[in-house]
Amino acid sequence: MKIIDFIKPKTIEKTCSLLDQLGSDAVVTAGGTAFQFHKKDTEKTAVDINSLDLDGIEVRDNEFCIGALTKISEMRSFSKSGWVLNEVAKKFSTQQIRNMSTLGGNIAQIFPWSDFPVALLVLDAEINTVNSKGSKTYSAVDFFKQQPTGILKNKTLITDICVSKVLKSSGFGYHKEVRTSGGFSTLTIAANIEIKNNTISEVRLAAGAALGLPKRLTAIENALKGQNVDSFLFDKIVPPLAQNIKWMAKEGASKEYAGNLAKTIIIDVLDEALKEATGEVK
Amino acid sequence: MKTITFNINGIKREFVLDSADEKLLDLLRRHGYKGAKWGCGDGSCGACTVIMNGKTVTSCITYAFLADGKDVWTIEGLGTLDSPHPIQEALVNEGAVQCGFCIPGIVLSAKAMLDENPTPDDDTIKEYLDGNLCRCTGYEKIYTALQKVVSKNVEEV
Amino acid sequence: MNNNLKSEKLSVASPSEQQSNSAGRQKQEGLRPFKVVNKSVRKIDALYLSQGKPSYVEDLVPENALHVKMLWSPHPHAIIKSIDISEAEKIPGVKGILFHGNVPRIPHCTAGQGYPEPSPYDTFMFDKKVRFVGDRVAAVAAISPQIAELAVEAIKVEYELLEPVLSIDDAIKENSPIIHDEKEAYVPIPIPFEPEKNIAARVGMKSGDFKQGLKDADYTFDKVFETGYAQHTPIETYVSLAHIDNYGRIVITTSTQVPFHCRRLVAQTLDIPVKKIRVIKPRIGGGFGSKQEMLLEDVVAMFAMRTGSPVFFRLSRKENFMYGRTRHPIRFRMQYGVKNNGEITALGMDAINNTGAYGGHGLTVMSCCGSKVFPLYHVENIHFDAKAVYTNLPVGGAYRGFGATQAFFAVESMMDMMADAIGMNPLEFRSMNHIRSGESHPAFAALGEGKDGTAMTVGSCGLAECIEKGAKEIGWDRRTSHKEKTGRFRRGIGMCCLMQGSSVPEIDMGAASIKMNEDGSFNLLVGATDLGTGSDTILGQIAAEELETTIEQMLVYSSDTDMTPFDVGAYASSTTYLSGEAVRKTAAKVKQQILKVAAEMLDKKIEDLEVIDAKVYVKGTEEHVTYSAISYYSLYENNQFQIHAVESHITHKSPPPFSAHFVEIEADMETGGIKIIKYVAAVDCGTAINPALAEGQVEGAVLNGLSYALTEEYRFNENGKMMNPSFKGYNIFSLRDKPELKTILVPSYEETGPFGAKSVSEIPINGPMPGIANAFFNATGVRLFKAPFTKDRVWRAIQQSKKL
Repeated sequence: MKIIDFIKPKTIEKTCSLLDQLGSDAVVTAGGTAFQFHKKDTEKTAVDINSLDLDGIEVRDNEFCIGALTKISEMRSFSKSGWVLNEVAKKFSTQQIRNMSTLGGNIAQIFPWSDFPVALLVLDAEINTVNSKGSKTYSAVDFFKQQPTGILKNKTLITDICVSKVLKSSGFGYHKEVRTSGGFSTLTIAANIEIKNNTISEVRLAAGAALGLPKRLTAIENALKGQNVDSFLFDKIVPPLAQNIKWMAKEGASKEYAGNLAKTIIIDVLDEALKEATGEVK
Repeated sequence: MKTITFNINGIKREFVLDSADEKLLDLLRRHGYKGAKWGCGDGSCGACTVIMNGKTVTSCITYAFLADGKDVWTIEGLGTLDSPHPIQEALVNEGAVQCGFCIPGIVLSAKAMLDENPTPDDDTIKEYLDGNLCRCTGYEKIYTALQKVVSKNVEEV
Repeated sequence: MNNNLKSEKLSVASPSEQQSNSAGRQKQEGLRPFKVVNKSVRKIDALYLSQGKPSYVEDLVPENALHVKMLWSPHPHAIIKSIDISEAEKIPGVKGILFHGNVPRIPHCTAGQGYPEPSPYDTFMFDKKVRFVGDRVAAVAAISPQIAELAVEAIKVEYELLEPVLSIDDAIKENSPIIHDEKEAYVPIPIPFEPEKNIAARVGMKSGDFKQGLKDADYTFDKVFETGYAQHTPIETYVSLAHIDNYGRIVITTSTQVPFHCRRLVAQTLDIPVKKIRVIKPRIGGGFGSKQEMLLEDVVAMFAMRTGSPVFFRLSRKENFMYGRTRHPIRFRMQYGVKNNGEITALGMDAINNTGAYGGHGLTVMSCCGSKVFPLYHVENIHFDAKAVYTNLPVGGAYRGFGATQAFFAVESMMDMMADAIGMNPLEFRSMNHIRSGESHPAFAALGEGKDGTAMTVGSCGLAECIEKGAKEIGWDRRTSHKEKTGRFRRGIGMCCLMQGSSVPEIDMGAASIKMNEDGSFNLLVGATDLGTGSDTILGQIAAEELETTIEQMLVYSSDTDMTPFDVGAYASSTTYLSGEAVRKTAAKVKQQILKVAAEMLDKKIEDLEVIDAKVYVKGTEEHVTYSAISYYSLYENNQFQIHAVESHITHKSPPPFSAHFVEIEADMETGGIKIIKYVAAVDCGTAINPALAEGQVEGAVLNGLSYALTEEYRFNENGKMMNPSFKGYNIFSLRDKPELKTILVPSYEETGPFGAKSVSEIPINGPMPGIANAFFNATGVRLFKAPFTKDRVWRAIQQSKKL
């Protein structure tokens, strides 16, 4: 993709009308780090949205709302009770890319290796968008059901993303399978568990990279919900259900291996989330 | 004719872009700032690292127009032969410079890290430097040199 | 150029430096303890490199340079039926196009080797046939890279597709398509070459009675090991710049390890005299063997010649992976016999190497699988048969370790298997069997580089001490049997012993020139090539030591075919041992001239004089003249002449450095993951001319070896196209991936090397693959036969073993 012009609108309204005007000739530009993966033979006008007041992490009672322009490095260094996305940010590409890439950019278009969508799926994320017709909120599940470019259609801006806090008696787990620190992911798993009276009261589990689009693994969630927590629970429930999922070969890992890996990593990640929920690890 | 303006090593300067598509690396090198190197073109090796508003970026994929109004530092803004920057001095003394191709990027990544936090722990050093690939040194002496710089900072604190 | 004039600072001394070579040194009576050599002096270019001063090829490209883009073959095996460049030529800004129809058709080899090369001349600048995805089809020079790219896309090519050969098995099967059917291809020296069978090279040896050796054994083994493709990935890709000087000569400033070979090869390929070409190597961003090749220089030279403009060609990272040279994947069938008492009765190696579409380095790499490996252990009954086969895949070249790396995976894995079978501790098994000082081995004489090898006796050998020190550092005594290990995560400790060589004896030559200046400084001119290894520095140290002056007085300039004397270049671990001795000899000669002048100045006989720290004293008195005074006298005052000498050197043996590596790993039985807990490399490189730089070589080589063993691979589609040509898809370690590493330099003294030195830059890369394989076995009881040990592959090996 070649940028042939750039414009830097100062307000959201201006941005939206510009996007309406330019249609498919425009490309919303924040950090631009994913542009190298766009189709080669296209020419676009960059609509530089960095002037818009869309960065920063707002702390609310039960959630964090992260401006779409918040850099991954900021998410990495942010530290507040209930904030878990620093763990995801820590594994995200390299320092320089963390400094340039934004959360909005990471979810506006999904690539197999995209990190945050998987985590957002387990944090009951809500993605707030706006265009010239008004604003609309999507649940993460709805937003990632298809390639988000299909929703945004080059006219809609993501303004912010709200995620639930992971508090007492809840825990978060995350694993990104890479060969080396800067490599693309073979398999990304995230989990969020809530414990009440030694049973799993709520569980969210999502996977990406070795799937087409990142998904919640609802069969496993449903099997785990309400179950008594004991050390064999995950070993019992996960493998047969993980086997039913159509894992894809990625980054040199075969399909069969991806399936084997998924079974193990899902258990590892659930364990990690559980340990945090029961206070074993904070 | 597109122009942008940004501070380069502390001096405000106007630049005429070759094209809207021009990357910061090409713009800088065209203007004589040759310390940032082209190694991969996709932002994964870090040889093109420069500092923009206090944060390292891989200039080979950074659109030059995104630098407009910013504060950019390149290796040319750091140290002289007579008076090297402490990070450069540490690397040289440790024997951490082999072919040197990755080194300006490493120096800048280390500088950005220490500007944010003068006493990072070992894991933090590794995290801040994880985008600077080196094939010569195995990172061993680079790491030791940076640990020494940090130790000195710890003493001084 | 040397910029370290100001500071006299030595670096922080590395611990190994403390283990001085006084023992070995004392042997040389009457000589002073080292003052410059065996010291970690600051690398002379380190400071300016750390400041990003323009010094690499791309930093030197003039504004008006043309840019080259290449049309690469999309097919693995095809005939070019037609090429139409007419549309491309019309594009404004296009200044030249090259393809098979407008360049000389001269068979040659692109490998940077001594002439005549022990490699087939099977390459043409541009051919009518393409032999791998990424092979050259046509090149465009234009005023900008963008225009060049447009022109490349406008070139119309019609191909006739041929059946591709995409594996070793494909290459050797009956009626396999012939990749090199051109009648012009030939071998310049009588080496085996059977292109009709897709065999690019063949080498072998026999000694003793291999069959009997197997019969005499208590245990015999027959196992197959396989290694894969890898690329050096220097952070600077291949880059080359050519311009025409005012005399009409082509000046090529290029990222090369072999400036002199490059000059000769360009002359040959373009059919122009050597005198029309000057090759200069400025600072380069790493090579590791990849740049022991003429890869771009013929193209830039031709364009410069035809257009009159400077011409710059830089390979993209993707092109670097696909078109650049690679490490040969090799399949080894190992047969061994061992007795209960630990005696190895037979060693058989049948090796097939995939040399890719062209045969450069094919033979020599195979030769080194034997010559740099067999002598490590006592075994008389040897069968060695190796061949390099062509495939329609990326081209193998020189890569640090050069066949020994692949072979040690097989050999050192087998050593552990044998020890296991006879119930002997693998450390003891190696200790009892390894070669010692004063011993020889038939492989030295039998295996050369296309010619006979060079018989030799091992001089210095610090291997026993390497084993002892390394074992202590890793805690070898903690090692328990895999049989006692359970659970998901299991730890294991493994080891390997290694050797390499130092230079190619009787074949390679290096030379140096030293002249003296008024202030007692010296210009040291060497052909030897500094890839970032610091050879400029250590050669300066050697000269300074011999001249009894300081490193700051040495002004080193290297690798310029006009200005510096000949040197084969940086490969075969030659620079310290070969070029270093040429430098020392030259310095010794210069010192004699200095003494002669001093004798005249002091009106004494030379025998009455002695040099101490850049001054010449009358023995036993304070009367002296300084080097500076001597130079002034010689240049201006009386019997004036330029104090200057040129000396050359060829070596007569290739004394092996020795090494013992130890690694502790943690295996994840469920994911097939291998985590490196700690790695120890103990190395005997003779005298380490610069301990910090020697350690740097070990550290860099080990880390490269680790990712070669664990994460680096080429993934091909069904058409032979490399599908992961980027750092994101081809995984090398970052600082974050670096495990704990301890390097121990074990001093020995190699009499035939400058100040006791051997080589160090290649040997350490040989350790990680076998070390990890052996540690993995110790952790799990599972033997790994195929590399790299990706999680997928390791997991399968674990599953497989469960079935047994």
